[in-house]
Amino acid sequence: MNCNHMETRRHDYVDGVLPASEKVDLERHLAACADCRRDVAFLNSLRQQAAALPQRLEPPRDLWPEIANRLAPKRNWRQVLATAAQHLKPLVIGESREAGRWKAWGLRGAMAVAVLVLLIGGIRFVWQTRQASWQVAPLAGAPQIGAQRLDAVGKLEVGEWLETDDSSRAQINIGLIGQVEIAPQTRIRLVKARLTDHRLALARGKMHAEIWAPPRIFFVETPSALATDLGCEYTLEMNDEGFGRLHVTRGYVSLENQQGPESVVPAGAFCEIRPAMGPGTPYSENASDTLRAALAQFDLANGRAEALNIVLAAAREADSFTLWHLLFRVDQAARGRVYDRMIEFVSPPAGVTRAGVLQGDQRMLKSWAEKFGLGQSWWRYWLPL
Amino acid sequence: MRIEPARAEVVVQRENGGADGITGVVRRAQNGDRAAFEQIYRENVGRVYAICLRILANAARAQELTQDVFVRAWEMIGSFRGESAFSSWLYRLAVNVVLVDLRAKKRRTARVMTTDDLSPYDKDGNMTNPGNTIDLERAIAALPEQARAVFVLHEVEGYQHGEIAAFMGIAEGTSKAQLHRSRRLLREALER
Repeated sequence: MNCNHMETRRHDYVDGVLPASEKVDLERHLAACADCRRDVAFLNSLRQQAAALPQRLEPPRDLWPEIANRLAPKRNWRQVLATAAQHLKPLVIGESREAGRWKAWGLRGAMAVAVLVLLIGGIRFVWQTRQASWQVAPLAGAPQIGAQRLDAVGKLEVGEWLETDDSSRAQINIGLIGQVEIAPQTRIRLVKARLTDHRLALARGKMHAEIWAPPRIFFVETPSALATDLGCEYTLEMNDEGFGRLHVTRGYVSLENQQGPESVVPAGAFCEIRPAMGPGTPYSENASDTLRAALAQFDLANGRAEALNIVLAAAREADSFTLWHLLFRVDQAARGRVYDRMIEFVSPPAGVTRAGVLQGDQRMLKSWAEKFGLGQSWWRYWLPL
Repeated sequence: MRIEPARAEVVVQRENGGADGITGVVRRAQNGDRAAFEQIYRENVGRVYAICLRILANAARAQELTQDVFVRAWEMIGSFRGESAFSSWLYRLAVNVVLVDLRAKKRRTARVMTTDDLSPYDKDGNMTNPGNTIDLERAIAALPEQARAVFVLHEVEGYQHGEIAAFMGIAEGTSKAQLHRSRRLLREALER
């Protein structure tokens, strides 16, 4: 019997994800089909053997000496503040008068130290962020700054290009506010290195940013959109044609350009970037293939009405923020349908009405957005209507 | 929206005696204590190297990336807030580092790689259970790259398709299809 068409069901069966209704049918088939029984037995055995493989394999040599040589000394403003806080903490808990007197002196001393540390840290922060260059370290191979090969830690000046080839990677320290790792085959330029405007231009390739500064201080220009950090960690990838993708793993990132509405992409979401178009509608990492495909059609304005129908039907609670963005991308008539689908997942709080949302009432939109439970009040950075 | 780890997290939590948050050694490493970080390295290098080796099927590259993982961990350890077991955080970092490297290599070579370096799985190597285990390790190492990565992450490391898709930047359906393909290829290899 040729049962190739049942292969997926056999895999789902051994993985325990086959729906109950299909499971009964398959088990009935297995009772009658020796080939499929053998296949299921093999798959079960394979799963067990794979799960039983050793979790640990020791490398053939000790890698620590080489790792230790590559570790940079740790001293950033976070740790300075943490250290100061640790010194202050025990001093505010007092019991006896004598102890209290010592602690009062200790507290004054610690406060003086803390003020001094903050002052030095502040001066250093301002001084470093005023520098028109950032530190760059090669992580693999030999990246280039302009025509200069980077073999050791160097500096990227404003206006200079950093380029990696097939086998090189680099790390840029963004003043004191974060780090950016540059993947192979990437071309990136330092545009600005100011206290309130840290700006790179990604021409092509891939970068991973981890930023711990307040929102709207770190920016990445791409040929098709501007990515604005709202306190986060993310990966941004662009090709030579201006197509790209943003993947946020912590916090939020805003994407905008002249052609369309802004997208605010939360952690756990992707957003497509396309040339000569606004940023795509963001979607969850776990969004179904159906929803992703329909959303792409919607963004590309191919059969928008049909694509919207599919998106609305395929949306789940985790896709609420996708629907939220769609509210601002559809016409007045369709906005009501998006609203109606949204309230199945995120009911609007008291005082928020359908009519108000459809008219773009800012107070109501803020109030509703708070209920999304996405972790932070991201609407503060974004009022698209 | 947050991805909930499945067996991988359970395996890790079992090893750590639960989701232990920030332990003393991790906190010391966060404060720049290299000796504490070396202790973290000693306790975790076997697992990190296993992830690198199985996904890359190349011992030399696995050693390089194991180093990269720990250097990256040192740089990022300040961002670990104890929301999961530290080892879980570290192994996810390892998976990320390896997959980024794999994708970069794929772009470079644009060809399907099979391993030419099976020595780590020889009987006199570091494996503790020769026999079928070695056959399976060799067969996994000979899989095409993407199928191998998905198989290792799903079947050995215990990640779910949603997590693997996020790690690899592919659709969940693709992850599933690659898993099925890898099992099919392994059957052909093991029954040969």
